[in-house]
Amino acid sequence: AMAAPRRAWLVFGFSTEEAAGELGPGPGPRRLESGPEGIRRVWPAWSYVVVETGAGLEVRSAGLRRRLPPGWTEALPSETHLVLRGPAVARAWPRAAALRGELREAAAWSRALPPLGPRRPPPLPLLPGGFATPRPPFFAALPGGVRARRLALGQEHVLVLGAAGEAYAWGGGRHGQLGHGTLESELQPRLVEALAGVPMQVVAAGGWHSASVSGEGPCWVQVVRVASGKTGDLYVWGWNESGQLALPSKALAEERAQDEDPGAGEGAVVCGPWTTYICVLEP
Amino acid sequence: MAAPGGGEGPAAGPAADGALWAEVRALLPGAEEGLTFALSGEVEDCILPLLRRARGLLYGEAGRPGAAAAAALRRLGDVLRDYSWEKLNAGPWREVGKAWRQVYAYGCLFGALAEVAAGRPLAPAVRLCDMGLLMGASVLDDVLARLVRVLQGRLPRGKRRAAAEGSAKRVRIDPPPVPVVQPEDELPHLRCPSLEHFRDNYLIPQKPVVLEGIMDHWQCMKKWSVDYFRQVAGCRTVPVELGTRYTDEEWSQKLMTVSDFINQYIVNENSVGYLAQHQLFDQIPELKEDISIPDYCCLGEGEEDDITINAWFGPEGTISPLHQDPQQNFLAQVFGRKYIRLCSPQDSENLYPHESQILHNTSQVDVEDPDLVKFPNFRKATFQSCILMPGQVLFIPVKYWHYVRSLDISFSVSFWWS
Repeated sequence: AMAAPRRAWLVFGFSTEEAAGELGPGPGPRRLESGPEGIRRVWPAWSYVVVETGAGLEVRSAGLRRRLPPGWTEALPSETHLVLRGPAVARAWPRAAALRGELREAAAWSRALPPLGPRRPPPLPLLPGGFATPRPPFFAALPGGVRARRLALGQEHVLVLGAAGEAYAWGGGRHGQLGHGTLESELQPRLVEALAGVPMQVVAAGGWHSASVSGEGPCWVQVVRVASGKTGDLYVWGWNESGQLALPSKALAEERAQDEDPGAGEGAVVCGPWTTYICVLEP
Repeated sequence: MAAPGGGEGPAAGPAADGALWAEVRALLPGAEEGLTFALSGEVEDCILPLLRRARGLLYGEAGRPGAAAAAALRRLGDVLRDYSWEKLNAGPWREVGKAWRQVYAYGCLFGALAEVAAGRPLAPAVRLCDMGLLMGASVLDDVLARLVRVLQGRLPRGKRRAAAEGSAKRVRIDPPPVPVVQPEDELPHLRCPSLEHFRDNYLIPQKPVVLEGIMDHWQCMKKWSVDYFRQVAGCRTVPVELGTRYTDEEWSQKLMTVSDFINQYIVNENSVGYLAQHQLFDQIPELKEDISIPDYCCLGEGEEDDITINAWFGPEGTISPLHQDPQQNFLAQVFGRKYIRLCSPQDSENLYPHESQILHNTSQVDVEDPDLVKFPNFRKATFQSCILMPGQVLFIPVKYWHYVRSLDISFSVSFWWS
């Protein structure tokens, strides 16, 4: 039998070394180091990233890799706190404790979760009844009527992928991150009209930018198509200060994103505050 | 501003370069332990290591950072500015934590020092200081203001003549005629009224009036001209409003040097740019010595320090749509003329203010071309007018609606007091 394709991750933009004040390896693309099973998922903050290896979750910052205790399955990191989810509970710890891997200390927040059903629950930040945020108050109820398959958080905005592949965006909008064609904020979930008619598979949000991957052919809208793969196209929109859109910016000379196959939709693109991670399938 | 006598500018070369670094270095605490960050509030954990790292680079090498240290310092300045810039832009300005503005100021300081340490041209360093002054908050006893004075003194002096590039003025097809002020609309003019007379007849009844003679001894009347600003402030970065009026959709703001502003919008006038509502005299304290606070401000309740002084410098044709402000205003005209129409707050319901929160102090009606179909009650509003001449000061009572259009290249100074 053929081995399952290995997932490798490329990252563009700011590095955790630079976040610590050291010289960085340049804005990218660079490949995340991993063991033989590869890296399944990544959850980036600004100065550190949590990755899921075959052995569980690991915190990576400049020069530091710390395995987290077993049992935690998902992460939601920020520069103030780390939220982790396990089978029965979600908790948050201050960043300093998280970087040391010291999770036995008192959590800043804790929420019991109902027992897992037969189907895999939607990933963080979604939680039963609403969604988690990586800073106080750590939990918000989802505004009525939106059945969320996936949810992504920016610094000031929220993206939701609905049941039919439609995208909703709300929150602060001054950098165009909502994709509604204005710079206005929205208090309630609002459909992203520009993507209407093209079912999305994935939504992702950075600090002040957003991205989604479709399941069908190309669609030119008010966003930029960055990469085109066999199974879908990568769209990015918003702020490009650190090269996170993989477009020429003040930080990059003339580097463009390579035409990488984003692989199967799920988790194919992940945005950090100043970074974009793209998953590639290696034979 | 004080360049060595004669010639194009300050001496160049390693000796001058070393002397500059010594002068700049003397603005900072002598030893590394002396540079405490003392932030007025909380910032995220990731920031302090970056600040410490920058400080280490600054003090690390004997006397002056070498090439590698200067490059690393520059990069740290970038990161500190970029990170705090996001905080400055998240949410309303009044909610931005002072500590984040201080981090931004440190980012500007380290960036500017890196430029000087590396011996690079000074204009970018001056710009960084200005960004820190405009967007940051005071650190190290206002070090950025002190630093920019030193750097500005070392820049080549501004050209005295008009800009080299394309000095052809745009030829207007049909310049709007100078408005005629009907005698019945004319505002009263008073020469040097006593405090009591002003208080009893204008301040207390809240009536506008043009005051004459009170600016006669202000140095600005003799010293200020477009060329003077080019020389004294040419390299300094200021916010400029682009577009005919701030209610237009295409209206925007842009940061640029005073020289660029003068070249692009005063001398050339291809489109409207207005250095408007800017606290220039806080940014360039030397200019403050050319003006005075009108004596009548002592009739107010606040302290002199609470008076907001704004500069308004622009070409002919700048328009401020009809609006009201929450404080009393003395509008002092230094050069050029301004056509001004005033309307009492009692007429507010005839003026159709915008609905939105941000424009609620602004009328939807174009005073010089009102759409009386859309805004029928506007014809009920009573206006007074004047053409404000150099040397005159207009008293605009609090919340009094005013419309302003410049008739020439114009410089006004406004004093907002309570």
